[in-house]
This record gives sequence, structure tokens and C-alpha cells, in this order.
Amino acid sequence: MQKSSLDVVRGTLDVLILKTLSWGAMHGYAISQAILRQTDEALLVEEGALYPALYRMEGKGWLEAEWGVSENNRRAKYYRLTFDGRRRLREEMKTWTHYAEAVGKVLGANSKPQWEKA
Amino acid sequence: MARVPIWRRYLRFFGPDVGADVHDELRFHLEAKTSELIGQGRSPEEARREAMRQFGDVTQFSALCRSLGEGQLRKIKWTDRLAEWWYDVRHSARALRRAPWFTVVAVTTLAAGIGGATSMFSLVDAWIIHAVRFPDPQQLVFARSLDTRRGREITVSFPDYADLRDRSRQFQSLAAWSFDSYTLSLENGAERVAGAKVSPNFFATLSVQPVLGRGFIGYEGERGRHQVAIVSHGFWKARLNGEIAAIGSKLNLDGEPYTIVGVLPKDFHFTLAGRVNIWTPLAPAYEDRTRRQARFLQLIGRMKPGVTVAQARQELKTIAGVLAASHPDSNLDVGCFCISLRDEVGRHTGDQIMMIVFAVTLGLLLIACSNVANLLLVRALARKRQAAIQLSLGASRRRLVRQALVETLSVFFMAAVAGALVGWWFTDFSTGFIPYENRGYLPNYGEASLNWTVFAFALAIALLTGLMSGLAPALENARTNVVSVLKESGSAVLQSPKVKRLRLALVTAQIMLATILLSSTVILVKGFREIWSAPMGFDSSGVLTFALALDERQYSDATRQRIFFESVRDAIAVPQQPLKPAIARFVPFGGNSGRTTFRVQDQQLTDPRRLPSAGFNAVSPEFFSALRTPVLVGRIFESRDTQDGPLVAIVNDAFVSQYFPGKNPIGQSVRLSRIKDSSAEIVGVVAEIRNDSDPHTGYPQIYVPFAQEPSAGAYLLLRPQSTSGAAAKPLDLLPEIRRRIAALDPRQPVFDAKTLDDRLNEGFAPFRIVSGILVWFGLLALSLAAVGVYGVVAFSVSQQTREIGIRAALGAGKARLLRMFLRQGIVILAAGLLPGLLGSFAAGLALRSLFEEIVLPGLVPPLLFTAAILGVVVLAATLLPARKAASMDPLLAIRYE
Repeated sequence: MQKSSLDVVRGTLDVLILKTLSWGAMHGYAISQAILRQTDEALLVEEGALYPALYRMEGKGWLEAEWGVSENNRRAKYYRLTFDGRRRLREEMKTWTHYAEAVGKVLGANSKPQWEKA
Repeated sequence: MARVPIWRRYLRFFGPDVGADVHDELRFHLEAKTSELIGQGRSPEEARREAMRQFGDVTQFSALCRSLGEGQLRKIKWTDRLAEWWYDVRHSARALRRAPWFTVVAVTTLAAGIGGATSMFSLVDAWIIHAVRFPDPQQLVFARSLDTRRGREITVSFPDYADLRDRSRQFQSLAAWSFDSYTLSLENGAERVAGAKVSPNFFATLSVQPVLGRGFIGYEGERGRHQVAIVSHGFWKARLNGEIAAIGSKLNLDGEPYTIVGVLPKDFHFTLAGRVNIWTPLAPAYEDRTRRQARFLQLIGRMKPGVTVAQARQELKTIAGVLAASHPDSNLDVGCFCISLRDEVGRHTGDQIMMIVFAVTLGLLLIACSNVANLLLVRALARKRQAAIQLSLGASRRRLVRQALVETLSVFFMAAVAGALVGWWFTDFSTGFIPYENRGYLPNYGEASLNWTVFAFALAIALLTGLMSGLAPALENARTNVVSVLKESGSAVLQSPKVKRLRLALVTAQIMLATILLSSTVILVKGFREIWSAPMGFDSSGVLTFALALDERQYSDATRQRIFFESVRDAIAVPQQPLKPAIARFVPFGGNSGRTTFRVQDQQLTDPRRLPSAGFNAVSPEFFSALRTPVLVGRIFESRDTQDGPLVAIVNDAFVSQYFPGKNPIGQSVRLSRIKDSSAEIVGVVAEIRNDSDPHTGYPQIYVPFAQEPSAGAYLLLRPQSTSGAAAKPLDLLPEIRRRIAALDPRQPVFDAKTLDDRLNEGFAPFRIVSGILVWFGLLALSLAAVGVYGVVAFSVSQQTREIGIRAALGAGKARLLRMFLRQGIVILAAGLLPGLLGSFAAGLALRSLFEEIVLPGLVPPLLFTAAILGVVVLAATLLPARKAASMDPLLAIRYE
């Protein structure tokens, strides 16, 4: 991933995390594997990058974390969406759909746009 | 997500640890990834490397996470903490409301201890420690001459003063003063005002500047230039309307015009001179200026910086030695000494008494503290179970300790407020208790206000005990093994031998302290009682006394003085009453008395200059009957003992047993140096009359007829008898008396008019005040100790209620159960009382050596008395809760938790 598109990626990562957690509480490893699987490893090149994002979102109050026990009985930190987090996810999804639609329209156009006279 | 075991919640016991959390989280990720890769068939080594590669830079990510997490934590902590504290405050308020007895007892006990200690210390501080409120008070000394043969302090003559002042090198300045009072003439009559004559350097010596006008100037000590006056602030406000124009105006004092040159500061108070309104320069007439036998001055000196009192004393002694050698006829056996002004003031206000009261209060504070310690200890331990529940529900240990802290602090906050009120009230009460007339001799007119530094100090002591007794168990609670506590029944915790021992030790110490306090109080109060119940030698009831001081220019010779006083006596006599008023140079408890040296006619003296001395008074024939003093032998004065008749004298029994042991004193003669060495024949012996609050007897006294030795100043005494059956109030007669005397001479004011009873009350007031305060403190100590014992026993009864129920169910009688508790009480009592009595004995001996001038009673009766009182109180405090428990329904008792 290139530096210039980092911001896009960060915003994207946030939405992906929110979306992943909307299915229920998960620990960091599970989140990372879910995202990797669903995006064909396109958006998360380094798994470690997930964690600062999680901490940042916890700070914003979208997520809350709690220590729990994993499937194989190990101590793990579980994240879940807060009320704010859910609302955020809805907003982000709306924005993304609009954005994707807009970009899709442009990229999918088959005639040259007309300049309107003033 | 699986259920989280309890212990896992407490891995972060001492607050969140972001670093460790991040570390754990990332490691979990890496390990999970590694094991997944191994599951896919990689070798462990390879799997770990692949996991790391996919993760990226671990160090960078963990640092990033940590800084994000910490920033967030700070934000949360700040608001959460405040909310938690507030919660704790509300929680403890609720808890205290639920335990009203604990709260009330703890707060009142502490308030009494803190308030009492503070107010007592405030008084000691105002009256003793800061008694001398002049700049650099440590440089000020009080000096007097010394009769080295009798070891008595005497006043200083003017020539001696001048020599001491001029020859000494250790003093910056040495000033002299003498009490005086003036007749202040006003447009409508005259009035007597308290004054003092001071050497011109007096105020400079004290480093006091008048607030208005100036101090005295050196030449104003010369006779003829001395007619200037400095007035007190109070006099200026009340009599001169506080006008600046008062400076330069004239006051008519003793018939001479004095110009007012200065007004003293409002807080100026020279304790040793009492309440003085008018200060004039000391400018003695030729006789007093030159005669070394005319001793009427007291000295005050300011030492040079760095000079010690001992050095100053040595120097004065040396100069006095030189004077004795050069003026043997007047100064043989006359030394000179000085003590610090503070000590001198302390002598007048009863240093020892105040120190004792202070010690008593400190003891009281200790009792209060141990009481509260006991209460807090019980409370904290009783909460052990609650603490365990809170712990198991996830409360942090820190939080538990903090709750205990907040609760303890709440109690102390309430106690501090109540204590301040108690202290303020008691200080006010104590000073208000002092008769106005007596205040003049107390530093700052006996006014003291609550000392807030001391208050803080007392509070700190109490708080320290509170924290130790309230927090120590709370810390212990926080460390408990939750499971074991929860399994125990609530009471078992409190019966651990360690706790029991501590509580018993506290209550024992309380009883011990109370014993010492109470017995010391009893001893002192009994000793003080002796002071005012010892025989007076006269009957004070219903006697009115007042003084006249004649203008000596107008009444210059003895005849005129005698005639005036006799005409006053006749003018104020009530015709129908057989008892005429009496005239006397001095009255008992009048604040001053006369002395004379004398020579028994046919006794040989080793040194004619060393004569014995006795008290002296000149009285009219009615004196002894007015006072109802028993005449033991011979006769009293009669109308034939006139100016022209032979000089006669009456002595008291102490005089007879000292100078005529086993002989008949009647017909013997004594030569009195006070009356130009004339010989007087003893015609009668009377009982000893007490002259002041000193309860000792055996002071020889000589009386001569007033007619034969009149004076310009004298008292009149009258015992008005009720004519209509109702007792006449002596003071009601005063207006009529004043009118009749004014008819004789309007310029001679009546002053110092008081009933003899009032004089006695004033004389005994300091002892009565202290005695009253001590009684209050003794009672307080007793009740605090009772509360303490009651608390311990009642608690231990409530802890044993189940046991009592079982015993009762098994057939133990009520009497038997009571005996069980009584035994407990007796053990506590004995454990505290025995060391207490030993301590009391030591305290009693110390008191005896401290109060030599007071006749203290034997130690055994007060100690027995104390032991009996404490015994009754402690056993009552034991039996009350025990009876309640013993009469409980056994079934209820067994189920009691």
C-alpha cells in the first residue's frame, strides 16, 4: 500500500473493524483474521496495524474492551461495539455507499462528460 | 466468551497497567497466529517467524498502542476519581446515619477532648506563655530589694533605685513605678481613679509608644515639672470622649492641674500594676527622694541584648552589697534580685495551677482519643465481612481503604466543628467567669480567645489516633482472604485474640488515666476548699466597707485626719442601732496591709538593727465587734484611749505564742518603730484575722487605736442591722453614705466600696475558678471513661449473645450469666485501677511538692474516693448491657448474629 493513500486506508480500516465487531465481541486476533479473509488480504498488509486502530477507537468511545478467556482458554482482550460505535458504523456505511456509488459512476461512465456553458 | 474466574479480574490489582495490557494482547495475537500456522503444517520455528513477519514492527505498534492507551486513561481517571470520592462521601454519610450511636458518641467524645484541650491551652497561652506582650519580652526583668535576713522581697527606695540605675551596666534602662490612686475632681464632685507613678523612662523601657501624644521626658521626673499625665486608652475613650483635643487639656488630680500629654495603645496592659488609668511621672518630694528607708518602688529593667537574667541578678546583688556597706544604717541586710518579667507575671497568675489544668486537659484528650480509637477499631473490624463481600464483587483494595478513610475523616470533620464550638464556648465561659475586678491583674485583662494553632494541634493528635485505629484495620480488611472471611460467621473475626487484647489495653489505659485525673482533681479541689473554708477569725456577712483618702494638704496633721474620720463615722451611724461603724487603716482582704518592726520591752536583742516585725493596723474601738472577732484576753480599745492617753496595743494569739510563750501578755509593752519607737502597753488579745487567701495561720499582728495613730487614708466598716426584719442590703446604703460624707466635705470621694463578702469572693476567685474548672474536667474524664468501658463491654456482650442464649437454654440462671460478665468487668477495672492508683499516688506527691503554699489533704482518702467512684461507674457500665443480654429470650439469642 502506498503512503499517499494511507488516510483512505485508515478510514477504511475503521469501518471494517466496526463492521466486523457488529457480529459480536471479538479479540484482536479474530478481528484481524476476519478482515484478512474477507478482503483477501488487500487492506491489512501488516496485522499489527490493527491494534493502534483499536486503541484509537476505544479512546473515541466506539469500542469497549474487556479481558476475557479465548476459545482455547487463554487470556485475551475482547472488543465490542458501544452504542456510539454502532451509530458510527451506520454513518460510515452510508458515506461509503455514497462515495463508492459516486466513484463507481465516474469510473463506469462510457461517455465523456459535457462542460456546461455559464 | 467463557465465564471469567474471579481471580483473573484481580491481575491488575493496583490500578490499570497499560504497558502490560498491550504486551499481553500482542503476545496473544502472535501466539494464536503461530499455533494456527503450525496447524497448517509449518515447523514451530518457521511459524513464529512467519507470524512476526505478517504482524509487522512489534515495537512500533506496541509503543503506539501504549501512548494511545495512557492518554485515554488519564482522561478517564480525572473525572472518575472525583466521582468516586463523592460517592465515598455519600456512602460514609449514609453509613454514619445508620449507626447514630457510634456517630454521636465518637463525635461528642472527640469534641469534648479537642475543645477542652484547646480552650485550656488557649488560656494557659494567653495568661502564662504570652503573658508579657511587649517587644523582646525576654529582655525584661522585674527587680526588687530583698530582706536577706528574712528572705523576703521588699520594695525599693528612691535613692537605691537611682544608684542601681546609674551603676548597672547590664541594663539598657531601669525604670521604677509605684501604685497610686488619685482623686480626680470633676465639676460635680470627685472620684477616685487607679493610677501609677512611673519614672520617665518607664514606657521606653517597655518599648511602648503612646498612640497619641508622647511619652514622658527625663526632666518631668523633677518635682515641679511633673504635672503631666498619660492616660489609658479606655480612660481616654470613656472620660475624654476619645477626642484628639484631649492632648494638652488638664486633669485635676489631688487638687493639682495635670496636663495630658499622651494616650496609651488600646492593648497596653501592665499586669503587675493592674488596671491603671492615669500614669504620672515619679517625682518624689525631698523626704522620699533622699531617705533609703522609704521603700515604695518596684523596678522593671530591660537588659542589654545577650545579657542573661542570672548576669543581671549578679550585678544587682553586687551593687546592693556596695550600698549595704556604704549605708549600713538603712541598707544592712538589703539585697537586690530580679526575675524575668514573665516569671513574675506567672507568679501572680498561678503558673503551677495553669500547668496542672493543662496536664489534666491533655489527659482528657488522651482518654477521648483512646475512646474513639476503640470505637473505630470495633467499627472497622465489624466491617470485615462487608469488606470481603465488596472485594468479591470487584471493589479494589484501594477503594476499600479509601472508604474507611473517608468515613474516619467525616467523623473527625464533625468533631472538629463541634470541638471548635466547645472550645470557643469554654474559653469564653472561663474568662467570663472571672470577676471583673480581678481581671486587672491577669494579663490582657484575662481576655483569651481560642488559639487556632492549638486547635489544629489537638485535631492533629486526634486525627493521628483516628487514622491509626480506623485505617489499620481497614488495611487489614483489604488484605483478607475473602473466602475464609465469608465462611466465618460475622462475629468470629472480632474475637481474634489480637484484637481483643488491643481493645482491652485501650480501655485499661482509659481507666488508668481517668483514675489519675480524677484523684488529682479531688486532691486539688479538696486543697483549694481548704483555702476558703479555713477559719477567718471574723464574720464577713453583711459588712460594708469603703475607703476614704484625704487630701493631705487640707488634712495635713493627725488631729484633722482623726477628727474627719470620727465625724464621718458619726455621720453615717444609724441612731437607733447600738453598733457604730468602725474605722480601720486596713481591712481584711482589702489588698494591702501594714507592717511594723517592734521591740519587746525587756528582751535583749543581739543586733539592735535586726528587729522582729508583725502585721500592723490602726483601728477604732468598734472594729472587733463589727467583725465579730473573738476577744480572748483583756479588753478592746475604748473611748479613753485617746490621743492624749497612754499608747495601748492589742495583739493576736499568734503574737502571744511567739513572743510571750507561757506568759501573760497583758501589761507588757512593745516599742513600735512605726510610731516613732513609742512604747505601747498590751491591753488585750484577739483571735487571728486572716488577711488574704493564704490559708496558713500563725502570723503575729499588732493593733493600735486609730485615735492614737490616725492616717489620711482609712476604711470604714459597718454592719447595718435590719430594722424591719428583712436583711438590709449593705450596698443599698451607699448613696445615703455618699451624701452624708459629701455634706462634710464634697471633695473627699468614697472609693473601694464593697461588702466584706465580696472581698472574700474576689480573694478566693482564682482558686474557685480553677477548682470549678477542675471539677468539670474530672466529671468529663469520668464520663468518658464510663462511655469507653460501656462500649467495650456492650460490644463483647453483643458478640457473645449466641453463647449466652446457649447457656441460658442449657439452664444457666440469669444470676450466673450476670456473674460471668461482672467478672469481666472486675478484671478490666482491676487492670486499670491498680496502675492508676499507683500513678495517682505519684501525682499526689508531685502536687504536694508543687503547692507548698496550699495545705493539701492526705492522699489516702482521695484515692479511696476515686477508686470507689470509678468502681461504681465501671461496674454499672458492665451490668447495664449484661442485664439486657441475660434477660433475652434464649431462642432469639441463639439465632442472633
